Amino acid sequence: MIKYVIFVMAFFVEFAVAAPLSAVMTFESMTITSEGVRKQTQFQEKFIRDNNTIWSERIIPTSTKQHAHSDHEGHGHDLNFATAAKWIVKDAASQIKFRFVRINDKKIIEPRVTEYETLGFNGDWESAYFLLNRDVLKKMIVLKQQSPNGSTWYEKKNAQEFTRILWDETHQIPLSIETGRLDGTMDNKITIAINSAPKTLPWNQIAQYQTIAYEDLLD
Amino acid sequence: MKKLFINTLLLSSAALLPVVAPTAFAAGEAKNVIFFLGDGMGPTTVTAARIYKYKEEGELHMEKLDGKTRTARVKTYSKDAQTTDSAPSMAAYMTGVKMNNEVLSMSADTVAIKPTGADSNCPATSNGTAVDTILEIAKAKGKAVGAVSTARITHATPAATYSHICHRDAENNIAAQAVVGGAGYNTKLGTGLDVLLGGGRDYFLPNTGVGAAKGKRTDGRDLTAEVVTQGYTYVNSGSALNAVDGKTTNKLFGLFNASHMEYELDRVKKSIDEPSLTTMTLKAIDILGKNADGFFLMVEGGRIDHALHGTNAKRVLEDTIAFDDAIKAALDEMEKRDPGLANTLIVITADHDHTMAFNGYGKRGSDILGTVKSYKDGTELLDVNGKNYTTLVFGNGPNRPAIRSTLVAGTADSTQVLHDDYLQETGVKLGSETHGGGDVMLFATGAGVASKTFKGTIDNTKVFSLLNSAFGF
Repeated sequence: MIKYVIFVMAFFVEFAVAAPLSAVMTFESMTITSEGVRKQTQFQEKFIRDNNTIWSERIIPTSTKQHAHSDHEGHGHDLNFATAAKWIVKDAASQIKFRFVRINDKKIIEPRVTEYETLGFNGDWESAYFLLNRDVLKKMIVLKQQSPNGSTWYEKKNAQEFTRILWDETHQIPLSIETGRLDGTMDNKITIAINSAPKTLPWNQIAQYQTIAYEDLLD
Repeated sequence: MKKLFINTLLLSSAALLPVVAPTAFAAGEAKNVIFFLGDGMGPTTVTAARIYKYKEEGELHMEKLDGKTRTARVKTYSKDAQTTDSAPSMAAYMTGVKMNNEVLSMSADTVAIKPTGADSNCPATSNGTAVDTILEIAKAKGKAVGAVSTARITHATPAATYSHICHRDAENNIAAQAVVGGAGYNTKLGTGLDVLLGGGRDYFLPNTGVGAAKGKRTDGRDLTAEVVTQGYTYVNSGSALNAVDGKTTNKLFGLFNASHMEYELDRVKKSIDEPSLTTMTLKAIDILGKNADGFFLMVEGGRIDHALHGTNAKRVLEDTIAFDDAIKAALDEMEKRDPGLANTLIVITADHDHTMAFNGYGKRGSDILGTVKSYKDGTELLDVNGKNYTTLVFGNGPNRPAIRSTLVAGTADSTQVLHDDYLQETGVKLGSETHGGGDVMLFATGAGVASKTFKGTIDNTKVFSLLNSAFGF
């Protein structure tokens, strides 16, 4: 009986997490330099995940002029993947595949597994899927401050720095991750706003794209 | 006074030699030539690799050659570019002709025309003509010839030794040029390359194949099968290469990866069944060295360049050390076969530089991959915004953070500067780190005075004529 209950609970947790989840992530950073200059940056990315797929993609304001990704630097190729979608898939054998997708070029760039980490993906499904490794929450204190339904504030700090996370237990995703210096000279914040998932998931729209090897861009 | 007179006499004689007897000293002494090419291995890479492995006071094997007196600087510009790509720079070494970027071993008037995929769009006529490479000339003179690379064997550097085409990216056609008896074969190779070892299997296999037999060829040909019918031994793994007996094998093809071979760091750490550059070099010498008339061998450390483009300094240095180890192995092997390297010329150079730079003022003994620590007190040196910085950085490339953060000299993850996968920061933000236009170094030893002809600041086309002269052609 106990075993059955655990199974049912696991099923519902899995079901809750598994449904396509879509969000807009807003990345903000601020630093005050020793010359007294305050620098701030902000950009946004779409984040969509389903059972075994994760997709994130920079949101580019339409007024921004885009570069073509052809050989505009002679034989050189474009290794700047900031505006490419990051597409991570886990197969039935739990093998993880990481690729970039350039929508404008209709190209999929496929690195070797040994190249994943140099390209910003450390191969950890947990961190990519939940935007953090949930074990870190266990090492933080719970803040007794108001939070949206189903979510909890966590914090960790030392004499110089702090990390603060607003964790949404229902959707199994952070709604805010903030790190900074207590003296106010540096602050990095990611805000995650859940929205409705698109009818057609982006990875179902790229079947006709050309796949090229990442290493073909390396010469 | 007597000493002064002798010195004057020597100077006079030296000045006259090129005019009176240009071949008496320089030519005819090299029965064998091994040409080592570190792709993209500019001076900063050489220095950083030295410190990485042997500390500031140490020396790479390539730097120990012949009393360190046979070092030259090589100008690398191409016909149309201040900063070259690997195709015309290697082709200049191999042919003595300065050609346009992207062009491989063709006349100077050849225009680069982009292929469709890996299939050439070069017209059959009216776009330049093939020019002989030192490898082809050596073959015609009865020498055994071979090329070895950690990159695809159809990639620009190795391709410049044995093929002629208006654009380096036409790798299907380049592969066909290496296969004796087949359509598209480069007949200047006579009875064919004796050794060809590297990556790039995809360009030898049909795109209609299945699984590991699937390649990128659009003509349905399986060139790996064709070379076997032509009498070659064909291998595709490190263990299979180890099993080849060089004493009884005369023709060897080895393609160890569908594309480029793995970086040395990954090959070792993940125990990937691919041969090291040292193993390939020694196997090539085993096979080519049997020829009584000598041999020409080109050995490329091909992935130094790729790691530089990726601004991943750790793999740059690991691959440079692997390249240097292959040089040491070749030197030792040839010393056994040809004591004193009396008739063996060994040349080591690069095809072009990169934009990797070396920041100051670090403390002696610092980790070359680490952050810069003051030579006075070992404290972290900081930029004007109070952030520390690494010793090695790049002039351009994709990794330019909008806001720099404090760097950690650890290995916990790829944001920490000593991690295998850390990418060095760059100055100008470009999609891809570019080659640099600075001169590269050239080291030479062996074959009596032949190696001594490589000196001063020389054009890359001059290297061909010195090789040719050393061979006595």
